[in-house]
Amino acid sequence: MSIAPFVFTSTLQDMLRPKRFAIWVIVAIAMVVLGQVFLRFTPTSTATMAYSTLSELIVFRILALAAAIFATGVVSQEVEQKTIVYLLTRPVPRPVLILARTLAASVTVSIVGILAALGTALGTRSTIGELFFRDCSALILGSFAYCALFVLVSLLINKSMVINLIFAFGYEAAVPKMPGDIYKVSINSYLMSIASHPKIAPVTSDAAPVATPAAVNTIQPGAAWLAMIGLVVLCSMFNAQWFDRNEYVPREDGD
Amino acid sequence: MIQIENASRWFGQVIGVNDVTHTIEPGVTALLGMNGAGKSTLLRLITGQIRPTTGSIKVFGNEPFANPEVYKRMGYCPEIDQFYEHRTGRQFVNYLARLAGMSAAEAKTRTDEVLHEVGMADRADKKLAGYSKGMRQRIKLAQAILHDPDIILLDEPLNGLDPVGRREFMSYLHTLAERGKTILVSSHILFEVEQMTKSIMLLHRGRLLAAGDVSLIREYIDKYPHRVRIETPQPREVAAKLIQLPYVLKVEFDEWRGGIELQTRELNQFFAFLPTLTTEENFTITGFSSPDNNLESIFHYLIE
Repeated sequence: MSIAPFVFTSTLQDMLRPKRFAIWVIVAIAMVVLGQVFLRFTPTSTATMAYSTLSELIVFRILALAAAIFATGVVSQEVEQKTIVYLLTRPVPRPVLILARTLAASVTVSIVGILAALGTALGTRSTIGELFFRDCSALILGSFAYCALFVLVSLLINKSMVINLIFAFGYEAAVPKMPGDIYKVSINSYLMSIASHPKIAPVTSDAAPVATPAAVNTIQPGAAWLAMIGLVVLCSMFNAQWFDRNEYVPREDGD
Repeated sequence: MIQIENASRWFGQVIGVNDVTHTIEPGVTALLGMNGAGKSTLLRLITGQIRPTTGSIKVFGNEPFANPEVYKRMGYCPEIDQFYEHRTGRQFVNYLARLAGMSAAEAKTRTDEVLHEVGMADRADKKLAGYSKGMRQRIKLAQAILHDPDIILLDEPLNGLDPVGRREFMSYLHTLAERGKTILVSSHILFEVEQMTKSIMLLHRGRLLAAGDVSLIREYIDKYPHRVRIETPQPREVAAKLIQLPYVLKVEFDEWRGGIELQTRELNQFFAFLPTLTTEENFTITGFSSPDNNLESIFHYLIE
């Protein structure tokens, strides 16, 4: 019998245990409240527009944040807590170990993202329809992409959490808004293409523009799917190979 | 079983294990060395957590690094004291049993058995976070033996165990050895090791200084006079008596701390005589110790 299903389910159970997951439920509830506040302060906004705005600005950031946290738990946290030794001295092939644990992290992050999106939809009184389900597919694919990438970073760099958080909040927030085609090297741009939110009208202002306007996202949803699947596959293959060939030993003061 | 050939391991500029060659056969072998001697590094090499920089290590004829076939037949009790603290002892052992490839039913049965064997059956349902050091050592031992491995590697397993626990542990170790297991136990306490086995590997600063019977070490030690410190309120009278003994070479008064310090070539004979000082000569002896009966002194002798 393959050990992979057990590694996956046990990791998933650990990531979803109430003490660890409760914060994400609270985040989803906060999104309900935020949706209602948003509607109250922007009375001209429709439910769909409110949902789209909050989803783009917050839900997809929550996704990246959750991915940074849970992906770090796949290997990096085990090394820091020194519990990696119990995993690496069992008859479990290392590629199976890392792929099953990454899959569990991705599923957990998907749940976090979908809960946040659901909270937003409830808060903004948006219908659970096509837009919501497109978001869900983008969130699921995004969680796999972010997790695969963040696990890769954690395999290469000690204390990878900081790097992953900077990527999630700095890079992923800023790059899609930059002029030119640089937005194409951001996961968020591909997820936005898959989500295909209705265009939000820019706020009109008499003030002169001080920066070059952001580029329009021209990535086609089909191409976005392929790019994200490619990223997940490539990162996962690299992770499996790298983890199989390199040493992951907790530091100790002496022996 | 375990073949180590010219194995060295560097960590940047620091050498952890230096050109070690040795074959470990079934039975109990003790890996003896002070802190920083390279014991844990050698165990990590054998358990395939790290690779040797030069040389080779073979376990059952296979390289152990990331090799599931080796791990099926190897149990490892690490020195680290870290666990999944939110789990109970039973959950932890059961989890590792499943990772060892057992079915849910097998894992449950085997978990119950090993917890009983290590004396934790009645306390296994508490969270690991609340365990004492001794309980944690027992749980680590349980996870090392749960899949009935042929090779068992124990890194400082006696740390934190009380005297009863130590006695039980040593007795259990001999039971495992009688079943034909290959057991490698690291320790930095010679006295402990002598109670476990006669077969030793003596590491110092990464090098294998000596390997074989523990009596070899004793022979080395016996080449040099042993120092013995005696606490007594009658130092002059006791010294006068002791200096008459043929195997006592020198007696000095310790004016600063009180008592006397002597040197002898026949430690066992001297300790056999010591009780007569109180029973026949009526001297008061409040304490005695052997300042050089420790590993540091032994390494000092061996290096000389």
